[in-house]
Amino acid sequence: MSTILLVEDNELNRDMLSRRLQRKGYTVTVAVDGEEAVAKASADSPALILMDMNIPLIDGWEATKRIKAAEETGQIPIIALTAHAMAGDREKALDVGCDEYETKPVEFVRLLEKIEQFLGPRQS
Amino acid sequence: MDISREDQLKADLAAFEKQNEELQRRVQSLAEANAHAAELMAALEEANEREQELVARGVELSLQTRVDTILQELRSEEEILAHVCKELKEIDDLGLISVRAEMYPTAGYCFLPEGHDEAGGLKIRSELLPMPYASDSFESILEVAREEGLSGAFWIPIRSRDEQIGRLHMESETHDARWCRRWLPLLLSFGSQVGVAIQRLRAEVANEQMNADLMKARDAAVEANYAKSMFLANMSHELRTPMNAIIGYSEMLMEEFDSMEPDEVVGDLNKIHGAGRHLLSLINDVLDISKIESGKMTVFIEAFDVASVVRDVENTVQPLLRQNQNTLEVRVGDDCGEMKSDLTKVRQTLINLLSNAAKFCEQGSIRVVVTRHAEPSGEVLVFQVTDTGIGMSSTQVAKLFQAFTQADSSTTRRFGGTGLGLAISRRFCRMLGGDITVESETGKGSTFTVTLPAVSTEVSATGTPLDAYKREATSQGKRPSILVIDDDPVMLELMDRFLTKEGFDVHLAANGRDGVEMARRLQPMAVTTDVMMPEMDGWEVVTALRNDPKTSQIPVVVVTVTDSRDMGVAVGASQYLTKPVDWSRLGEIMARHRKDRDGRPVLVVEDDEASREQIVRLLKKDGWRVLEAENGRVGLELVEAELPVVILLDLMMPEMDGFEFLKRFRQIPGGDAVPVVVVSAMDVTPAQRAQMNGGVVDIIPKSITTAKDVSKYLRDRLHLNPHPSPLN
Repeated sequence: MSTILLVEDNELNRDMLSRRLQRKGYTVTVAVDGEEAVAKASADSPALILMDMNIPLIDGWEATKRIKAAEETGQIPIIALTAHAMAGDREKALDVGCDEYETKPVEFVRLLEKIEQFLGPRQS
Repeated sequence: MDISREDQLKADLAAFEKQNEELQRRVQSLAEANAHAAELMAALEEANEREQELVARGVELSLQTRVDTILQELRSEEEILAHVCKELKEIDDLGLISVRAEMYPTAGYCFLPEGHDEAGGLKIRSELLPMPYASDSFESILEVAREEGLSGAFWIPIRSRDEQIGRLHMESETHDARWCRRWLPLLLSFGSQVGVAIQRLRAEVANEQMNADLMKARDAAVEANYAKSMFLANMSHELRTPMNAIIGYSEMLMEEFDSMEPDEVVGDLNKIHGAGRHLLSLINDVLDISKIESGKMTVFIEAFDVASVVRDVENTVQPLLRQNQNTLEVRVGDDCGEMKSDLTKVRQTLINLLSNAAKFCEQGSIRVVVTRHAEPSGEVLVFQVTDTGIGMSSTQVAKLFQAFTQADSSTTRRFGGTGLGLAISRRFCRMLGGDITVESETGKGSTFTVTLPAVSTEVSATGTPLDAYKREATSQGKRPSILVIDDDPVMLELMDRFLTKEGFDVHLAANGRDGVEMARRLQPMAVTTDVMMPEMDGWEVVTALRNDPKTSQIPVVVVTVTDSRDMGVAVGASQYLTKPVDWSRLGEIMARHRKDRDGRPVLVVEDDEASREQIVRLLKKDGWRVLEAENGRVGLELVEAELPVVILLDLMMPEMDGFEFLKRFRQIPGGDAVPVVVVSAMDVTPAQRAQMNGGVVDIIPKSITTAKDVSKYLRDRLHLNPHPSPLN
C-alpha cells in the first residue's frame, strides 16, 4: 500500500487528515516541521508528499525545494496544501517544484482524486 | 624831403597792411584751428561717450553672463544673493562701496526711473516709502535720504513680475544724475532678473517639497496597504485553519459515524467545538478592531468590584495556563475596592494580557498585581501582568500595539492569533481614560501595565471628558445661531472661533446624541456635523434631524475627512464640506443661510379683512414676504410650518384670540426668539399686559398702520429689513 508523507504543524489538521487517509487505505507518516519533512522524505521514501506550506523551522516552500533538489527524493510528487488562498500562491507553489496545489479547508474528495492521479487507483 | 617822408609813410602803411593781412591770416588760421579744435573736442567727447556706452554695455554683458551663471549653478537663495552682491561690488565702473541684499524688505526707498526732468536728469520715484518723493529728482531724494541718515545709500528692488520680494542695498562713491542715467536702468533690470531667478528657485524648492511630501504620503499609503494585505493573508490563514478542522472532522463523522465508538465521536465533536470557538474569537477580534477604527465602539460605565473581576479572569484563563504548564500568582491590594468603568472592556483587556502571557511562556510563572493609587488627575487602578516568557526586542515592542502587525510573521506561525488583541486592548484602555505600557527584554519576559482611572467618563482623544466641550450660546435670539457637532475638541474650538467671528452665536455638541437634542430644543439657524463620531455618527444625526418635524427644516452642513458626498445627498444633508475646512467656503454657506433666515416672512394675524389687507399691501410694497392669518388658530398652523421673522398680532379675534395665540406660540420651538408686535384698536389694560407676560416687544395702536409706514417701523424699532430679493 502506498505511503503518504503528511507535513502539517497544526495538530487538529494533522490528526484529521491522517485518519481520513488511513481510512482510505493509505499508510500515513507525518512530519510537523520543514526539517522533519526533508528528513522523512528521504528516510520513509513515501510515494507522495502532502505539504503544508506554513510550517515552522524551514517553511514548505524551502522544504519542497530541498526535497526536489535531492537525487533520491526528487521524483516524489508533492501536493502543496496552503491556507493562503491568495493570488499568486498557486504559481509560487508550482515554481518551487510542487506538482499540484490544494487550498485549505481541504476538499477531501478532490484531494483524493489528485492523489490517485499520481499513485493510481486505490486497491482497497 | 616831403617826398621822402611821404614815401616813408607809404612804405610804412604798406608794411602795416601787410602785417595786418598777416595778422588777419593768422587770426583766420587761428579761428580755423580753433574750429578744428572744437571739432576735435566734439569728436573726443563723442568718443568718450561711446566709450562709456561701451563700458556700460560691457558691464551689462558681464552682469548678464553672471546672472546666467547664477541661475544655472546656484541652488540656494542665500548663495544667489551672496554672489549677486559680490559680483556687483567687483564691477569697478559702478564704483560701489558696499552691496548687500535682503529679501522681503521693511518699507524703504526704492528708486525707479520715471522719465527725465527738464535739465535732462533722470526722474526717480520711491517705491515703498511714503510718496512725497514721487516726482523728485534722484539728487533731492538722496538729500532727503541723507537727512534721514541714509547718506549715499540707495536700494534697488528685487522684483519678480510686479511683486517686490526683496532689495539690494548699495552705497556708491558717486551718484549724480549722470551716474543714475547710466547705471540705474541697468541695475533695475538686474534686480528684476535676480528676482525672477529667486522666484523660480523658490518655485522649484516648493515643487520639490511637494513631491517629497507626495512621495512620503504614497510610501505611507503603500505601507498601510501592505500591512492590510499582510493582515488579510494572515487572517485568511487564521480563519481557514479552524474551518479546515471543522469541515474535515464533520465530514469524517458523517462518513464513518456507524463504525465509530461513542468516545471517538465525542472526541471529534470536541475538536469541532473548539475550532468553532476559536473561529468565533477571531471574528470578534476583527469586528472589534473595525468598530474601533470606524469610531462605533461604545463605552458602558458601571460600578464593579475589582477583585472579583480579576478572579473571574483568572478562572477564564486557567485552561490556557495548564496548556503550557505555567503557574499564576495573583495579588489584589485590599484597598482596590470598586471601580466605575466599562466592565467588559476591562475584563477583555485583562484576559488578552493573561492569555498572551500564557501563550508566550512555557513552564514559567505569571504574576498579576493590582494596586490602587492617588494620582494628580484622580484615583487610578494599576494592573500589572508579568511573565517569564520569550520577551521581545525593542523593535518588536515598537510595533506591538499597532493593528494588523504581530511581533513578526514567524510569531504568527508559532503562536497563532490575529495580532489584534493588544491593539484592541490599548484602544479600550484609552477610551476609558487610561493606557497600556510594556517593558520587555528578549528571553527574559515582559511586563504589561494597565493604568485606568478608578472612575471613568467617556473621553475624547485628548483625554478630556467630552461633555466639557458641550456648550450652549447664552445670548440666544439676538444673532443667528449655529450648532456645531463634532467629537474632536480642536475642531469644536476652531469652528467656534470662526463662526463667532462671522457674527453667529455658536452652540457646541461633542456627540451626535447631544447634537440632535440641542438642535430640537435650540432651533439653530443651521447645524454642522462631523461624520466619524462614536455612538451616533454624522449620517445618523442628519437622518434624525430630517425625520423630526421640529428639525427637518434646519439646514445641515456635513463636515468630514472622507469624501462621501453621495451619502450626504442620500441622507439629506444641505451642504458638504471636506476637512481640512475651507473657511471661506464655510463662511459663504453660512452667510447664505443667514440670508435665508432674513428672508423669513412677516406674519400678520388679524381678523378684520380690510385692516389685514392694508398692512399686507404696505409690507409687500416694501419687499416683505407676508403670511396672513385671520385668527390665532390659523396663525399657529402657519408658524408651525415656517417661523416668521416678526409677528404683527391683533388681540381680539374669533376662534383663538391674541392672548391665547401668544401663550401657545411661545411654547413652540424657536417661538420665544421671534418678536411679536401687538397691533390693536383697543386700549390694552395693565391686566392684559400682565397676561401677555412680557411676551410682546411693543404695542402699537391700529391707527398707526394707516398713518405710518409699517416697514419703517420694523426697520427703525426692530432693525428688521426685508430680504433683498423678495420672494413675492
